[in-house]
Amino acid sequence: MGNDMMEAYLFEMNTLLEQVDEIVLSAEKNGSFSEDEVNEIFRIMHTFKGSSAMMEFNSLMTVAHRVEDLFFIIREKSMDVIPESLRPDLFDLIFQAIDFFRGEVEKIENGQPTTNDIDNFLEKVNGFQSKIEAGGEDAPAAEEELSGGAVLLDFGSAEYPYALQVFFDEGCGMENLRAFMLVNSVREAGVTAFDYMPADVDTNPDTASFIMEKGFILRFANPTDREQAMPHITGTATVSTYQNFDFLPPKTPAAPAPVVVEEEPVLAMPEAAPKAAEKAPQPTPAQQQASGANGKQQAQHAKESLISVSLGKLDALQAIVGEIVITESMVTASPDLRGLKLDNFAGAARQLRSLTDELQDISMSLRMVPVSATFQKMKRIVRDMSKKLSRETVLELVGEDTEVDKTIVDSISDPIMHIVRNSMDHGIEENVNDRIAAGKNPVGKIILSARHTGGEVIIEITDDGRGADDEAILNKALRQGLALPGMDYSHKDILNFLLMPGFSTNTEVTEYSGRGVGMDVVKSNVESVGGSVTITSEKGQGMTTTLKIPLTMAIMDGMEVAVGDSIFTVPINYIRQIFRFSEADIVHDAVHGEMLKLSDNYYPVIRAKHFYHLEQGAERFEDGIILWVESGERSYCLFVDELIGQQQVVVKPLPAYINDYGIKNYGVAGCTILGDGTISIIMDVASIFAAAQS
Amino acid sequence: MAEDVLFAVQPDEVPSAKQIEDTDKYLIFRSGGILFGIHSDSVKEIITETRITLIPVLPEHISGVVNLRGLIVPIVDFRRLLGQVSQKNSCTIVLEYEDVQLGILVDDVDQMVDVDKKGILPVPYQNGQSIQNLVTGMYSLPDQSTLMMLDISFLYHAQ
Repeated sequence: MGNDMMEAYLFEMNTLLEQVDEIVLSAEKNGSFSEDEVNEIFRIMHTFKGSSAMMEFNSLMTVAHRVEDLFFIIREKSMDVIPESLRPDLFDLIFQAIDFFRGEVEKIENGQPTTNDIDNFLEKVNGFQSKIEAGGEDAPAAEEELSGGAVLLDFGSAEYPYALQVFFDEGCGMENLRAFMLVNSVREAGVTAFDYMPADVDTNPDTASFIMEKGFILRFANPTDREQAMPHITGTATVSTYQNFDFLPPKTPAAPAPVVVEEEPVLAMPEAAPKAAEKAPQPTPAQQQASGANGKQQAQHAKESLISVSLGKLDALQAIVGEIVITESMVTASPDLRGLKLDNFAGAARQLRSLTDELQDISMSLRMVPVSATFQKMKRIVRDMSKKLSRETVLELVGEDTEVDKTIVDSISDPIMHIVRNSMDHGIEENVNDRIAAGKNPVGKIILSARHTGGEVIIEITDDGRGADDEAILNKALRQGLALPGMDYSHKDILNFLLMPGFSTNTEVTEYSGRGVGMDVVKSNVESVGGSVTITSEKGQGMTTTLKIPLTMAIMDGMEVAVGDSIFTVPINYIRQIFRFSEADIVHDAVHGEMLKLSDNYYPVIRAKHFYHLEQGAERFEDGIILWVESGERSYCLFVDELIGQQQVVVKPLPAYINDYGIKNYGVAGCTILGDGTISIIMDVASIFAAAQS
Repeated sequence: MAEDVLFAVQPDEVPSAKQIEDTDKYLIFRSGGILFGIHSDSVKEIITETRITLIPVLPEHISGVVNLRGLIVPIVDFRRLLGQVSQKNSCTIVLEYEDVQLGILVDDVDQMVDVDKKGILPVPYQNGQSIQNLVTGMYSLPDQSTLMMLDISFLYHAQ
């Protein structure tokens, strides 16, 4: 239970943090917050505050509270309250707050204690707030009232003249609910003739701040009731101080005199009372407004149509859907039905088939998430770094909605971040004049793109910076002992040095990249999910880093082919052409190799049957079919028995027990379960060629 | 071979608490005329109808993989593992050991027995027999036939 709550809390925090990040980024671009954006941030901070208080992360709660206050002012007085000159500071401040939350959330995730040292940040917020107030005319007065902390009391009530003002421990959080619990316990004690203010503590969380500042006020009809309630007040652990006031009828000229004082809280000056009376109604409309806004926010909440589901449940769903599909075909193709003419049954079965197909498609798509969240994060990195390094740079995102399996998204986030940082740090020119001299746009550009091809997701990070300097890299590689002196290295070889462990072209360790981890870590991270990293670069023309991530669980379009009684899946994107041909077209070479001449080029023929040493399968070319496949620079003809059809498949890895035999090097990329429950082997076009050549 | 026969416990054979402490349940299966015992903790299920998908380039004793309710489970042909000729009619015992599932093709499954731990005898030295690596001990059944106790970890790491 506790864990569930924690998980939900962390999930909520992370999602909302990303939202705030996005809002602030776009606001910064526009130079101002729109009304909606202010409301949204206000709402999010409010949620942060509430849930952090519930989880007892006081520092987070306090920071959220301060930011919320700040946005409360902006919301009330519109963005105009912040002069143009202060806006960059505002954005920085919010970013700092986001970073603070991120850091804390990460600590919580790792089970570390949260920091309590937030004074620094709070000071910044306060400083900023006073700057705004200095800019705005009427702000200071109102603000002083609040921050003065004076006890503003307006509980003169003829009906309930005996008041009790209660203060809670500072930072205990959820003051309004604590107050409400207090009310309940007083009621349980049998005291009925009393009321309290704020009156809507149980429904309006905004009253918490009122209680923090002005205390929670209980008003009783007679002193005995108050006496009776007292033990319940003193018995509550979070109550720090309390104070009694007796309001005598207005006839009495003297202001309310404190009767009992315990632990000496700040006292109301008698003169303060009439002033307070004027001021006191003020918070109420504000609260009403706030609660009105609350209602609206809830409506917005309901509109959010995303829920989070554990991966385990999705796996279970996928398994069961697979079973349904198999069972469906078992039922409809049951041998018992053979020879029977069942029109109604056939119609219903067709419908069932189309429904199960749909079900399967949907369950497959559940695990897929767009890469946009990961990509969006990079915006922030580019923004921060271009500020810090004073290299104006824009990030362009392409193919954000490309969907990949959830597990893959998680594993590529860090590598992408590292490469983007590298591009900012080492790619984009330090001096704008260098760019202008090279005839480039003074504003640097990084393009982050994602797309599906064949069995892979391809992610490219391209910058238009200074590119790789072969000579410098080679010299560095020689110094690091990665290259051998006197050897000739091609441009490609030299770029590969960048990916080697212990290589880092920047001599200085900077804040953003070069923390002793280099591209080699990126490479090993990507390789751990079965992917590959390649770099292409021309000096002065920028650099492109390409990550090819296998789909592991991704859905792909495959062509099912049969060889003997085995079924294989060839990723459709690798197939250039499919055709039949006769023995006469074959060209034989000296070592029993077979080739085909296609559009002025010779391509080797690989027979799947021979390659895999299968017992059954077509021998004569007339009995089979040729798939002309291509992967990268490798292009050849694959000979199989027959085509079964095109199908969307989910790639499953083969069990480790089998993978240990190195079958990946023999063209077996994984397998997939077909609709009828049979397993089809997914061919890796590139490695078949490599294995056939050796 | 109905399950109720397989797992039936005769009322007069109900073991006392002390007996349970000293005994382990073993599943007996036959392969190439030899009786093997496999600890019941590792046995997940027994399947008779399977469609094995051949995976190329693997050693002979690995027949391929099966689809067990969406899970891809490798299948080892026990006869081949012992260097014998594989046989058509066989059934599959699905094992689960260290969270990894593995199916073994055997001739047939016999029954479940309680094996007295103290009664398990060491394997005598057999020169060059592959069976020796696979077996951790031997046990005499009440009907005087001999049971070979299978070493599951070896099966999982038989490469």
